[in-house]
Amino acid sequence: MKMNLELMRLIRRITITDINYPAQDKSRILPALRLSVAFLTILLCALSRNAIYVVMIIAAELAWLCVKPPAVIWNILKPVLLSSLFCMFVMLPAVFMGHPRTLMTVSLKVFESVLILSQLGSSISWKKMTDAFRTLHAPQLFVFTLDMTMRFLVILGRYSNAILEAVTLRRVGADHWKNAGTGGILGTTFLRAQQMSIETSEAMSCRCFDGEYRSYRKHKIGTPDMLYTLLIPLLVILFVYTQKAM
Amino acid sequence: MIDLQDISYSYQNIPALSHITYRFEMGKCYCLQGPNGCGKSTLFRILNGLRFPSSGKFLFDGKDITEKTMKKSDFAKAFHRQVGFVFQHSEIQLFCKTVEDEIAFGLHQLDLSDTEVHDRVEHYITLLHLQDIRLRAPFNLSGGEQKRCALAAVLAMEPPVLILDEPISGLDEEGQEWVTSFIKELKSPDRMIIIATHQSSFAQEVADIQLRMTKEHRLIIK
Repeated sequence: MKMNLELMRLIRRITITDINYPAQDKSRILPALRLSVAFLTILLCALSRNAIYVVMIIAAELAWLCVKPPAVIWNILKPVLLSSLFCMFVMLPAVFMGHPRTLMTVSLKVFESVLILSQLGSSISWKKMTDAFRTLHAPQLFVFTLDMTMRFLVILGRYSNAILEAVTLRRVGADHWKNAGTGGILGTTFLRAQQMSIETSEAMSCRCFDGEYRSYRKHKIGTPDMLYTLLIPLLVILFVYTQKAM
Repeated sequence: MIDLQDISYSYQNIPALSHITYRFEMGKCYCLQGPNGCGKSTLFRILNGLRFPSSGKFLFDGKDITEKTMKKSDFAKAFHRQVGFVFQHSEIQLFCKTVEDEIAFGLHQLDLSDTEVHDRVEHYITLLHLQDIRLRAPFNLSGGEQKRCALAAVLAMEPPVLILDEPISGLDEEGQEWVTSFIKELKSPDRMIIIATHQSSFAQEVADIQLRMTKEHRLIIK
């Protein structure tokens, strides 16, 4: 039951981001570029042999974050704090074995990586995110599967919620039926998913699908994109400089 | 144009269609009615090349549509280009991220130029009043909006044969009126429309020829 509620919350988030789509995607920068810069930053942090580079990136990220509304800050920081605490817990034996710096370095790297991804996820809608993968020449099958997963997550989530409500209405008093009811919901949802995937596949063949999966809207590269591209050499220079500084 | 010659179909020995012989002509609007489970949806799947008759022949423009011919991708593409199908549950039919992507999807498959794709997308967005929801995900739209989106996606491919499976089911009164008047506008000498419906008043309003499927899975002219 609790898991179902969590799923509903996730679905609700996707639905809301879709409805608020034009308002949410205010950034004029090409999502593929933002994704590339994010991956590069994470890669460089992972490669970094000291904490200076990581701390500098975290400082810049936090400075950007502090101008955001409190609710946004909390949404971004929640997964970051959780993952960092988990990482610290896992790395705790390193302290007892005389390597306290390892704990700090790894935890900082986790903090930085999750912060970048969380920040990216909060500012780009899932639609633009999959478009970004497409622009970066990710295999069409991968992009298509990602889009389809999102779609089915919402549709089946809605469907399972409806069944859950129906079961709740019928389950008056008898608590021993709980597990059977949940199994029934999962089973019915699975069968429905199978039927839906067949119908979707038929709908796609009716529209001449031959594996090509493109986006209609194309992003025109402008000055903000050019300026944002400058971040790539800047990050690399900073990385090289901080590694030499050690 | 569509010639059904004594076709039958069964699902694991359960008959769905029984000895159907009929010829659908261009420029006409056909309405197919019948009780639940009489085989309307199966017939539509056969007309779209998604299922194949257990016996009998389905000829489209004189060409035999069989599992073997439909396995040839060029042939299948050419066939699907000519037959547009709007499913009963539009939610299933819509799989792209935005309404405009949905309309452009089929057009990209037809290898049309970007200009042509753009022109058609804009035309059908305007025609079906989808301007305000063009950036929304189709699965988050209301039933009526989804129906309009599905219609736009299929119509944009400009198929001469349009098959609509219960186009007004699940729509409110306003939506039903809109679909009815839109179908009337769609009727033209170079287009064939085949509709399945449960509503007699709707069938009477739009159909040139009314057909009926019986409980015995046979097709009769009403």
